[in-house]
Amino acid sequence: MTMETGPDASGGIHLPKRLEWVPAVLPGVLVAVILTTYPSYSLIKTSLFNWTDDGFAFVGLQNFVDLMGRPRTPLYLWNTTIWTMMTTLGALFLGIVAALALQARGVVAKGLIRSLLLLPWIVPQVAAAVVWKWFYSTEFGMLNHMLQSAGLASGPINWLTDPALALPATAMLQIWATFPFVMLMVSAGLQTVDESQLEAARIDGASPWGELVHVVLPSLKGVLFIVTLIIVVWALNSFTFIWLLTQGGPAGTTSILPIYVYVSFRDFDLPASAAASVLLLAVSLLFAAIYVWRVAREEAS
Amino acid sequence: MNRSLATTLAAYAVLALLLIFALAPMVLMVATAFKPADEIFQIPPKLWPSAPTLENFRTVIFDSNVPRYALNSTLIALMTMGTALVLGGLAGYGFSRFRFRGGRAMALFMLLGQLIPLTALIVPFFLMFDQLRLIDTPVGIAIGHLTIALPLVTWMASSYFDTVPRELEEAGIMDGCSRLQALWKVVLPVALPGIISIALFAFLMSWNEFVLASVLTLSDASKTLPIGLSEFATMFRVDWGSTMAASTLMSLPVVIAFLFFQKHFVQGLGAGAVKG
Repeated sequence: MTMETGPDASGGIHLPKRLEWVPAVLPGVLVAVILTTYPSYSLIKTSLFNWTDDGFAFVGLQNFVDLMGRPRTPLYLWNTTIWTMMTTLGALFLGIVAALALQARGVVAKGLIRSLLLLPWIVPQVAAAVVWKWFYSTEFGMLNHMLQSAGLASGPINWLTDPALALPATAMLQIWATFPFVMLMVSAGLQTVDESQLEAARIDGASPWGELVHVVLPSLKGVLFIVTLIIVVWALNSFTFIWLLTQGGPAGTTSILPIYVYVSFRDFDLPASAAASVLLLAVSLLFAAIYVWRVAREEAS
Repeated sequence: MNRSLATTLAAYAVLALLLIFALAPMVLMVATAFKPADEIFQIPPKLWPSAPTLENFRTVIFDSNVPRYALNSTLIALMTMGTALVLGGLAGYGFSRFRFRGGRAMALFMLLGQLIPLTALIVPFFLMFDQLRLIDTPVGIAIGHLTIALPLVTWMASSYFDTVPRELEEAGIMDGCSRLQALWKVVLPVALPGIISIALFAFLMSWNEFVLASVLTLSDASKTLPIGLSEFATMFRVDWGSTMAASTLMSLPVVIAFLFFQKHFVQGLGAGAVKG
């Protein structure tokens, strides 16, 4: 039977086989292209314009030069780097530890424990942020109360208003919200660890630590690489937690790039906001592209 | 002590600490929501309310705009979910079933789209929607949310359809159905649990989103729950009891839905994020 285009007995339409993908795939892809590439294009264009004597005119890369020349910019870039490293390493560490502990022999109710540990990732970020703010409250906060009762602090600590503490304190919330994702992915990765290799290591008299370092972690390399890229992109673009806890303060010590994008946008400084956005987008897409490349490579093999 | 027992005990100790870390904030949220005002500003603070009250919930439900925001959020999330599900579900089905020139590139483009940062796109979205008169409208916010929901739904659906045998719709097509009919009548009923969890994920993504909504909303006409809640929490004198009650109400449907569908949810997420 030949497949020809035309109405069939049931009233439907049969497309030629090689075009069958078109009605399924094309609408979604087109909408995604419009929704991602057009704003990106429009953003780049905006970043090249500014108010001049001739009105809103093309200024080339001047907005980027201006951005880099601002006194606070080095601080913001530094904050972004430190924030990304702290939150990524923290989430990786807790996520791996959680996945390994869940994997241990003899632990019961694993399903329940895993569901409960996933909750921080599921709860709306705004709800999480407001309760953490309450938790950190200097006078009425539960954290200071607990530390003081346990004799670990002599007086109340200004978690969110002390310039030295604000960034680690907000990072803790990001770690809290993202470690479950790492746990989930590492748990899935652990299912693929080669049992016979573990057996062999045990016969050779490896300690549990030796097994972990020489067998388990190497076999998780692929998963960890991908997970790291994802949480780095999340960290780079984290806004809600910091905004609700400190609004980027005190004295800019928790201002990372997304905070700067938002604040300059709100202050009608469109050129600065657009230039910072382009920077943020470029760095994020760099990590995202490595992620896509890696996934593509794994699919191909 | 033997080695495996020691490992088990160590694992329990680690899990206990992690559970405290993970759950303490949520316990604090719910406990505070039930506290009367005088207990909230008590020094030293106590975790559990001594005289639990529903007053904070009453304030949120009857004396605030939270119900209005919840309605906006629901409407926006439903629009996002419906559109993402039709467009992304079909695209995911296509990627799973057909091999064609450029298909791989398109699939990888969608994968890249999953990680596109909305924070970096607030400026162009604001400018575009200003021209289209979509600022402060639920439709505008739903379009913005679709940007992140669509690629994710596509990938989740694609890897989900990979697990549904293609013999199903081929049998339907042999019986004279068009492919769309076969998809609708034969595949969908089988794939329903997975599709529900994907839909749920798209819904939650919109329900939780903050930064874009905060730029695109100006008035109660389109303010979403996260925006309303953040205003609650950044007032000069924060009403912590009502804020925690509102947070609890906002989180509750999310947590219930998660616990209910978690099996599919977890599988779908794994597939969507780290499809190897």
